[in-house]
Amino acid sequence: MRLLLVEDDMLLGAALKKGLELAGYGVDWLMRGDDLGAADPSSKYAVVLLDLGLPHMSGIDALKLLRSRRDTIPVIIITAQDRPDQKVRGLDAGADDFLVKPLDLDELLARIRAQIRRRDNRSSDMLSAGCISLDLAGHGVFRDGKPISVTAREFRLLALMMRRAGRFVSKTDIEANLYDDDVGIESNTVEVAISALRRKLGREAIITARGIGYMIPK
Amino acid sequence: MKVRRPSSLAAQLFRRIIILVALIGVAMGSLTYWAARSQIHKEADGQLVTAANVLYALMQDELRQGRTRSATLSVDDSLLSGEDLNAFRLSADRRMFAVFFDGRPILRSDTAPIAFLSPQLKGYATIETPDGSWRIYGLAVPADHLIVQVGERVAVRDVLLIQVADNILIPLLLLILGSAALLWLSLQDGLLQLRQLSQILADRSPRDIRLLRNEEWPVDLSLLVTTLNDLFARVDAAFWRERQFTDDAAHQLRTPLAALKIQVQTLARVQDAEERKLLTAALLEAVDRASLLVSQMLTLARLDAGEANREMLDIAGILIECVADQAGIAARRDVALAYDGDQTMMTEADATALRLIFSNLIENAVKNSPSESTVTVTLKARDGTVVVTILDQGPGIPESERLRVLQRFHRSREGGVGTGLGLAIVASAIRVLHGHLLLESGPDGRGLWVTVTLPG
Repeated sequence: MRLLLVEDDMLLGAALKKGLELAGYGVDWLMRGDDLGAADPSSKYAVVLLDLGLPHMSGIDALKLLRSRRDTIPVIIITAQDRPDQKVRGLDAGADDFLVKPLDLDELLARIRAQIRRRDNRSSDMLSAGCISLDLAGHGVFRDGKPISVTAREFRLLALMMRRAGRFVSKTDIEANLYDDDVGIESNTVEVAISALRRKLGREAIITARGIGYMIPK
Repeated sequence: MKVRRPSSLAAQLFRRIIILVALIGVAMGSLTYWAARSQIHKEADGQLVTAANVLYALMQDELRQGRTRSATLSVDDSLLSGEDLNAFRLSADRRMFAVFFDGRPILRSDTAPIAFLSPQLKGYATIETPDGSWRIYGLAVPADHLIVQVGERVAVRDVLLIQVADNILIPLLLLILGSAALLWLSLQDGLLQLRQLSQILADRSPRDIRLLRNEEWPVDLSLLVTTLNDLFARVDAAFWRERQFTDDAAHQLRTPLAALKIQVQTLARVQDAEERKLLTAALLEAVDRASLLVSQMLTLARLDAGEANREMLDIAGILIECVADQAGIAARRDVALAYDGDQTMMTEADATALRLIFSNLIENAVKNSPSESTVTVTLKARDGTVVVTILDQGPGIPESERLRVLQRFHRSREGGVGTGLGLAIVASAIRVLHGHLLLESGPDGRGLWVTVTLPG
């Protein structure tokens, strides 16, 4: 799953990106408000993390612009502004959650999971399909209740497909989710990860349809 | 000395208007009185003429009988019938008559002050007697050698005049008292709106600075309402400036702390030694930035509290030192530093404040310079002042932002890693030295051109 981070502070932005990546998210980082205003985040990201004091366009204005285009992507505001009227203004502008700096990484991760859960219309962070289950919060993968060890990239791929269990996920979507700034995508990256997962979860766990993509049956 | 509080506007206004009403009342009363008085005299004088003529007419019968020719004519040999005399006597004590024949009194009433009457008196006259004043009219009938004099006491007229005065005085008093009451009531009514205005303001919370609706108030209060609204607007602007400041301060203070916290939490999760090294370096950078922020805030606090030293020092030496301090960073960014000025220049100033000004400005210029550009620093003595300029070839500061960049925790529209305190420190230090700071575009319209003018 990919997150879009909009934060103009170099140090905080870098720290957040690193922390979120360690938690298994792919992160794209923008530094200007108008960059978000121009972006179409729904197609690529699960959640937007938005600072308010941004150069060129305030976070609030960028958020309003986003919502005016009927984009319903979950947005979590991360800001130093902590007055109730500022929270009200942020939430009324279309934010789904509001966190005040300095924030706690664990709390941020929990709030991101909550937004994804709401978006997927789920009641818990446990995804299951067939004999496989995946714990988004605890980062565990289980087959018939027994824990399976997976790499961070495999976890991200599995989480994406489990969220859309019963539907085919295109190779392009998978590539967009696995992409990292520091680790580039090679032409066979997706195939390598899929075959690794098949080895750990069983051949029948992932169905391939040439030209369509991959699916984990419900 | 105790200042005497001016009496209420209503009371002042009340007093003045009542005095005016009283003056007008008295003037009108006096005019009426004098008009009535002259009318009364005219009437009464007319009556005297009539009375004299009537008396003469009544005497016709007797005159025809030739009695006037008798030198022995006396009062008892009345020229008037008894009836006529009786009629006269009813008001006799206030009236008199006397008839002279060839200068001799031939007939007179008891009341006539004969000693004071001149037999020649013709027309009107007022005579004084110990018994009071009389108004006399003498009718001369030369054909009969008669002068008929008729008079009445002036006091009679005074009684009439007193009645007239009474008739004027009482309505006049009522008029003044009535106006006073009416005026007081309408003043209170007018002041009620002033009281309403003050009540509305008193009921407001300190944060309630909504503008008053001017059209809801009488025109007389319009000036006050406009001034109040003006004040409200200024308070509101000050409030928003303060709020902007606290918002910016919150951002600048909390963001480094947020970065520190996230970095520490991330570091705790990373096992890989190489990655830990990278994260630790980033963490140290964040700590350095937080330290810089703290020390800059302390510097500002000291500048706010402190007075500048005035010691003889070499300002050129300090400036060159500050340029040299930035040489390393400038070289790494491929920025050339140029200095144009004396090698020594003695002046009275505070060395610490000067270093703060110069190092912040030069560092700022270097940071904002593109590679292969030049930062030019000059020093000149001019008209008893010392002028330092720093010119870079960077993006400059838009004119609309030049005042704001001097404010604490200012954040540029471009964002970035600054604490927003550097230029605020420069501005404070220059203020402490009683100097002057000017931000302009470079001579070719590009870059930032800073001019610092210090007293020599």
